[in-house]
Formats: sequence, C-alpha cells, structure tokens
Amino acid sequence: MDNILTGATGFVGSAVALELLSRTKDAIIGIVRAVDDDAATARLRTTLHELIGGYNLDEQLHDAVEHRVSALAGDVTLERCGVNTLAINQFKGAVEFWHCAASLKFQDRHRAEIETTNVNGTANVLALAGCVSAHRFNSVSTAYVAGSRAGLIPAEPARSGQENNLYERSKIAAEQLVMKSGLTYRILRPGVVIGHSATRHTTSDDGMYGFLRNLIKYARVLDRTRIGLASDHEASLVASPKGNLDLVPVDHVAADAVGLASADAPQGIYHLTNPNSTEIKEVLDVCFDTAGFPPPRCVEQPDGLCAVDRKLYERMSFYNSYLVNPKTFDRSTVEAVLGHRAMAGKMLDRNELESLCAWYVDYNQLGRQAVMAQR
Amino acid sequence: MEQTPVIVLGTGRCGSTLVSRMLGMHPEAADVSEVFSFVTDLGTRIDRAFPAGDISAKDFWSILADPQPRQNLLLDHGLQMAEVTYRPSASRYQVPLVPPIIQSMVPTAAPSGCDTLFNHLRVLMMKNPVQPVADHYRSLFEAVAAYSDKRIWVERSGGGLRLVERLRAAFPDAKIVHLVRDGQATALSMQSHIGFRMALLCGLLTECLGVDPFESDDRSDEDDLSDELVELLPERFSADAFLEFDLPAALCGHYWSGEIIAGLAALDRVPANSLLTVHYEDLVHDPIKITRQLGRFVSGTDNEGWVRYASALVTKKPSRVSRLTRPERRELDEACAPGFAALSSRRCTHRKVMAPSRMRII
Repeated sequence: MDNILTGATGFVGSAVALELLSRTKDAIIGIVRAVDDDAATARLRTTLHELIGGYNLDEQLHDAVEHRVSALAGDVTLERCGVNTLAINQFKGAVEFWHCAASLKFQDRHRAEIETTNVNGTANVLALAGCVSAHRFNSVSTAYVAGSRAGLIPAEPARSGQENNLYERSKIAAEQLVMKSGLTYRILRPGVVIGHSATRHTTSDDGMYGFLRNLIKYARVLDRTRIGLASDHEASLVASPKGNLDLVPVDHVAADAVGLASADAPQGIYHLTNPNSTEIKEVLDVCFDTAGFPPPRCVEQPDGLCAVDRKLYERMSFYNSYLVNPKTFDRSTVEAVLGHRAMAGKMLDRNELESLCAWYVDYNQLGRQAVMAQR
Repeated sequence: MEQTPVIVLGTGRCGSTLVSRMLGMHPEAADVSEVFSFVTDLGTRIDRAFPAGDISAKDFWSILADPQPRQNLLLDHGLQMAEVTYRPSASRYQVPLVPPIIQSMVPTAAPSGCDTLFNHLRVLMMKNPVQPVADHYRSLFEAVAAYSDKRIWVERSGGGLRLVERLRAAFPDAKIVHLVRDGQATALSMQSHIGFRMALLCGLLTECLGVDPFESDDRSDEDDLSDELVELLPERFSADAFLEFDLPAALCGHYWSGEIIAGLAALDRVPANSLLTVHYEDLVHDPIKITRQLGRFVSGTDNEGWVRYASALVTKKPSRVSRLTRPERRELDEACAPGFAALSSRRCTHRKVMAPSRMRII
C-alpha cells in the first residue's frame, strides 16, 4: 500500500511518516511545498533524517528514507493540491491518504489563512484523494473540537457552535467535509501534542510550547518594566486547577494512528490521547516556574483579575480554552481496535514536565533575560 | 563666560517640564531641554547617544541631526507631544526627516529662527575636535546658552532619571534638580502621554517579537503578537491603534517604581551640595517658596522678579487618582509601593522637613 501524506514535514505528519517507515514496508509520498518534485523530495527526506536523530530512532531508518520516501511539489491550498497530474495518477487505487497539513494559527487577523488551509485545504486534499480512488482517508484533526464541552467527550461528530476559537471552528468544518466526502475515512483527534516520549525532541512551537513561550515573553515584559517584577508577581489565571490537560507525546500519536491503519480500523472517529492525562495545575505551576513566575492562582472567572493579569489573560486567550471545562476523551474506539496494542500513555509527573519545558527553552534559546532597557 | 550646567531629572510626568520652563525664564538661564529625549529616540537608543571613547564632530552631529524612527513615526501620524515645539511651517525639515534637536531644543531656543539656529549650531559643532561625547554635548549646550547670552544652561529630558549615571559622568560639575511626584498621579499621566506610551509599547513589542521592530526587519515571531499589538509595528502603525491600546495604569505604576528605585540608587552617589530634590506637591502647595529656593540653588542669587513671574506658572491640576475604582486604586497603590518604599527609606517624602543626611530636600 502506498501512503500519500500532506503535512509530512510537520510535527505530527513527520512522526506518522517515520512510524509508517518503521512498521511497514510501504512507500511514503509526501505532498510538500517546493519548487519542483526533486526539491520536495529533498526537503522531506532532510526533515525525516533529522528527526531520526532527534527521536533517537533506529539508524536503519535512514536507508528506508532514501529508498521508500519521495515527494511531489504541491500545496493544499491549491486545487487538487497543485500536484503533477501524471505523477499522482500512478497511485490510483492502492493508496492510503494521510491528511496532516493544517494551520495552527488562531488570531483574528489570520482568519482567511486558517479557513484557506484548514477548510479549503481539506476540500482540495479530499478531491485529490477522490481522483486516485484512495482506499482510506485518514484526517488528523484535534480532540479539542470538543470546544467548550466538559466531562467525558465521546468519539462522535463535533457540534458546531461550541468551538472556542477560529482554529477549532475550522477543524470542525474540515471534519464535516471529510464525513460528507464519500471516501472511507478515519478522523484522528490527537490531544495537545508534545515532544517525543523518550527524547522530548519537538519541532512544534504550538500547544503547550506556544503557551510556555508566550509566558516567558510576558515575564520579560514585566521584568523590563521593573526589574524583578515577574518573580514578585503572583499571577491569577482563569483555569480549572483540578481538571486534566491531555498532553500526548508525538510518537504515541503516530503509533496509535499507524496501528489503526495496520489493523484496518473501520471508518470512524478516534481520540489519539493520553490515558494518563496530567492535572492542569501541575502543568501551570511548571510553566510559570520555567518562565520565572511564582505558581499562579487559578480563578474561575476573569472579572476579578487585576490589570496586569487581565493583559496576560488577553494575551493567552487562545490557550485559556484548554485550561477550563476539563475534558476526558473517550478512547474506546481506539481500544476496541488495538486492545493492548494501544499506547498505554505516559505519566507526566512534575519532573517530566520540567524536562519537557527545559528542553524547549534550551533548544530555542529562550533562556536569556529580558532585553533590559538601556540606562 | 563661565557657564553652569543644570540638569533637571525625573521619572517623567513629574512636573520637570514645568520646572525647566520656570528655570528657562530666569534671566541667567537658557532652556536646552529635551535633547536627550530625542537623541535617544525617547530613551530607546541611549547607547547610540552616549558612545564610548572619543568621537569626531561629524559623528556627534549625526547623533544630533540624523532623523530618528520613533519620534518621526509619531509626528507622521499626527501624534505630537506637548514637549515637541517643532512646527512644520517654521522649518524646512519635514516629517519623517525631522532631526532630533529640531523636535524641541532648537525651536524652543529660537521660535522664529529654528533653521538659522540649527545651521549655526552645525557650523559650530563641526569645528569641534575628536573628543568624548560629553565634551561635544557641553559645547552644544554652551553654544545655545551663548546664543541668548546666558550663563546657565538647563537641560531636562522626560524620563531623564534613567540617564543619571551617564549625565553625572558627562557633567560632574552639574547641579542636579530631582523632581519627584506622587507615583499614582505620575503613572496615570504616563498612561496617556504619547511619549511614554510609545516607549512602553516599544518595550512590549521588543519582548514579544524577540527583536526591536524599529531596528530589525525580522518578523519571524510576529505570530506571538496579539491582534492589538501587531497594529503597532512600524510598518502597520496607526494613530488610532496607538491611542486605543489598553495600557494599564498599574503597569505604568510598576515602571515608576522601577525608575525611582534605580534612580535613587544612582542619586545616592551625587554630592549633597550638587543635588536638590523637589516634590511636585510641595511646589504646588507653596510655589513662591519653592521657586525661590530653586532659583538660589541654580543661580546662587535671589531674583524676586523672576520668582513671582515663574511661580505664576504653577497651577493645581485636579487629581485623576480620585476617578479610579477602588480595585484600580488598590492595584496602582501596590504597583507604586516599592517606589514609595525607596523614597521613604531615604526620608524623601514631601511636606516633611527633615535633617537630610545626604540630600537637600525642599
């Protein structure tokens, strides 16, 4: 079976590609933004070679990359992804599609891009998959299409109107397109994806890492305003302290995703989440500590926030939705197919959270102090 | 004529503009204010304005005359601070190429002959030898004072307290007047002042973007800017977005505290007979007395005519602090508390006559 991937150079897509290389003998064909097919292939292979090192994977995978990985120049925002028609037609029939490409932006000013990439992009990929009569269409979504719902979240179609932001809205719309496409599909919904379970390596700047990075920058703003203000300031944050946050390592997401494909899991919706989710307060304490703040106070509503905390709340508005309305994602559809082969999940205690944060800070050289105003 | 340097320092929005205007009316004093505000581009390019080592006349003139981005951006969008006495009709220099010293010092010294004075200063400054920047600045201020036949020059720049170490090093013989105003009132004034808003927002942009957007084209972290903040990037800047940006008074209060703490630590090293601390509230309460004492400190003589004339500039403005809600007031109090603590630890509180160990307090 050939596998055609969009987003193969991205965080989740590249992990899926590596998992496919490791567990199957299939070919991997990426649809990659590049000037031509040769450049697309080079770009994809380079990404995967680097990650084999970053994830400390079997060195033999390097050969697999060279022999089983290729790419077509394309762009999900273009009609049928803009790929070479002759090239794509050779894959008719025996092909599994993996749609991993997405925009993770959320600001209002990126509304058009979010819609174009996540909704129109999905339509374009579906059209391409239809052209080659794809055997199965795996669509990577997000568990947080659950929006403002709380409690146990079943693996069922998401409801419009409960989304928290433009990103979630676009992913719900994309799922609806997939379900209406007429293709046999699996909708894969990861939790908040974090770095590799063993090496902590990540190429993501989003999710928990976006939260941490923006927290660090806010601490620098405060320290620039008055030296030592960040460490003096006990911030209040709108969050449900006892709720859980679903942090799931990228290799676990890929393992469950490819496991489902290997088991020819039926059409449906699957939560690729962590059975051992982490308490929100623990995650917040570690992130705030990493940024140089004291542990935050969790409050239920933004009404009583002081002005400095209100600015933080506004700045972090995208992430607020992950900190309230705690959710537990039903993994029964995954476990029904994979049974004991499903990823058992990773316990993320305080030490591990600190290591994850420290890895990201060191790798991205975020550890410098505020750019102190000159005197 | 031997000239006496006088430097008026404060956090900004503390009454120092009023004091420098009052001193500028003294028959022996020339007001050379806002030079450091604008050659540092509102305090964001201090290192550039105070280079180490000796510099040439050409390099010094570059500091005085090369247009600066932030101040010109403000003017270009019709955002003119009261301190900017530049008038487009009075100079051939137009936005966005208005030189720093034409923003305020030159038009203040020569309202109807701005370009004439500017050209005169260029001719004079270009004759200077290679020398430390401090000597270049001194020659500039002396030239402006001499232009109006004065023996005292008074420099004041908003937020100049930040520069006290550099100014002391540059002008060790200067008399320093330190203006202190109630932190809450100062913070509220900073919140709405164009210059302070620009300086604080530039800091915000720099930390969120990872680079100073006025010094670098790198926008790789632009997605970390909120929709509100991204509109303040220089390439997208609008007056409406600038004025509408919600800058909490408490953040200004924290800034005030930081400036007071650092500024007082630096002023601790100034000899007692070279430093006068004036509380704005005392000036408003008894303008005649405080003006007289200012005059004596600066000129060494009494001039009652000037005292009456200058003290008439002092007016009591209604406090904006009373308009705050209780939670806002509480938050502002907390933000200013470290600054007040630093003042109290030096017994530097207004309307209290104490026997100062180090400072002359009036």
